[in-house]
Amino acid sequence: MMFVRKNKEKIGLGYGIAVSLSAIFFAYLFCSSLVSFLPGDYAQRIVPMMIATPVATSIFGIWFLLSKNNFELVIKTAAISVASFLLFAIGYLF
Amino acid sequence: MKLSKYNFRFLTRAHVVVGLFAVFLFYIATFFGSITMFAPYIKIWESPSRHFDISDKNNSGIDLDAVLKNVIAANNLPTKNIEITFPSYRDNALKVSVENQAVIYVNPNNGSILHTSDESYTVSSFLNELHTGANIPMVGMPLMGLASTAMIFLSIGGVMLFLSARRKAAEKKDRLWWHKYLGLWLLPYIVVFTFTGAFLGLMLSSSSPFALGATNFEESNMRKLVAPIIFKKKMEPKESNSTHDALSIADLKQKASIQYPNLHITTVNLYAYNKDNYEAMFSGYLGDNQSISGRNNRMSITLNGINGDVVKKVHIEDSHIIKRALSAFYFLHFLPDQGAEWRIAFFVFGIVMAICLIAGYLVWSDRKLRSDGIFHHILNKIAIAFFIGVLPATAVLFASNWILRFDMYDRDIWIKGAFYATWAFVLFYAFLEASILNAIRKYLLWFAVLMSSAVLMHAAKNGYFLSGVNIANMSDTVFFVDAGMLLSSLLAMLAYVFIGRFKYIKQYEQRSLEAW
Repeated sequence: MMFVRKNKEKIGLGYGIAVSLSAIFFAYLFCSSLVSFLPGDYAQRIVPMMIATPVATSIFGIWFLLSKNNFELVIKTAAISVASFLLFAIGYLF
Repeated sequence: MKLSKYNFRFLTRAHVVVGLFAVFLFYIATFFGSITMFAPYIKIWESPSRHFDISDKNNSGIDLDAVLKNVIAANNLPTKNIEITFPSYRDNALKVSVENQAVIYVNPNNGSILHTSDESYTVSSFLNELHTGANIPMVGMPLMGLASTAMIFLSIGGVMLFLSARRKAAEKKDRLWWHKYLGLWLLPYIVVFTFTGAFLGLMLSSSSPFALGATNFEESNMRKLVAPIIFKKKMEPKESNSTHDALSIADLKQKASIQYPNLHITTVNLYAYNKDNYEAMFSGYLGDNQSISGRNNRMSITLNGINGDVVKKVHIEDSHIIKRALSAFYFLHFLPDQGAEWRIAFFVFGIVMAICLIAGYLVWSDRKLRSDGIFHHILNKIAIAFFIGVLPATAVLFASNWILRFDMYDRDIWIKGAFYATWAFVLFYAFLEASILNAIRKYLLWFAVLMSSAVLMHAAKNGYFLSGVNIANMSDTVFFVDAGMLLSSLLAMLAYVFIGRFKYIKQYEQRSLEAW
């Protein structure tokens, strides 16, 4: 647990690649969950989210990068996962 | 908003690493994209059949119906749905097309059918392929889209770094200064091109999660869901065998212009041409709302071909909101109906963007010169071949259009092959030549020689050399493309002569030779 909570002093290539891939994955997850939740026809729901995903990727990437330690990073990814799951569930049920 | 010391460091490092991945791809996209701004003119330049000026911009000089009847008879065309694209700056020929049939081009000055079977837009379409990454099957376009996404990250991160950085009262105008301030000034340009680039390159090829999300995991094909909504197909009238006297296309066009005054007509679809249920749909863009009536959201008016009554009129508010949004979204990327002024302005922005990217690379490279890592030296050579070496390869592309015969078998493969072979040689030469300055000067010289050779060969092949009359009759578009190419050769020659005098280049050269 110490490793997870230890403050980062530098970022390596591995960490950078992991953050980049996570940002892409969570941006797709979050934006596609929003698609299931939004009102309107398929075009109104899908196209805006497709435009927003690259921006979300960049914002998530910076947000993940600026984590003090790995624990904060885990909390952030968990928060997006829970939010996405809730949006999917609401979209599916209603 | 100020970043903490650590966060500033993390973001700077991420900016460098992501920047090194994106800089080469985005440079290629920017370089070829800037040239592609002139693609409509290059298309005319590379096709001998289009080397004429349109004598009458309104095409009222020729009898369109007589031309069309001639084309239908000569090619045995069905009359269910004939599309005529009127001449414009994009193509000075009149284009007649029918679904699943070869397109026929007509000279609008005299109504003669143009012989285009040996012609293809190899140069302009290949430049566009290089811009979009379509030249690399499967991965090219997503990779370019990923580079655009990385550019969005770099822009947001760059602004955050700029706002958090401590600045001295008088900043030295070094590579970092140029990279920072050019990048900031170009932010609107970057936003337009990275958003559209990421959407077209990456998102369209990876849209399954959105389709699955929208359909509760039942359908993964986004196009199947969206296309029927925004690209509704017009209900075509049924085929009829009974012919009927109808109004001429010119009269119908005039009536359409009166009924829809701000519609700039670019195309007409003739449904059941000269039959008793004949309808003509005139479509185009709105003079007072060009961005929303762009290429994928054309406004239209449909007239009854027999009596000219209005059957249907499509206004902006009739089109789907996403269609309007996409039209506006694509507008500044594609400039669908904009002429030379807009294109020159965007070309200049593109060149400034390319300089900003090179300055960004030099910020990193400059620091690495002090350490003699082999990775850095290899990357430096690749960078020269990418940034400057692409110039002679592009010039070969233009020259080979006029070196190779038009009826040559697999002509486009030879032209593309010549481009890749030159680029590969340029990379080889970068490793062969220890002096960076010498390599850059050679590339500039090759570019100047090859580009002016392309103009000379074009002139020789079309007889402009041999006859003063031919030069006087030269099409304006062809003349300006030739002049632009000669101007680029001249600028390259000037750079070849004066580049060694720049203090920074000399210092960089010295340090790189010491490190080599």
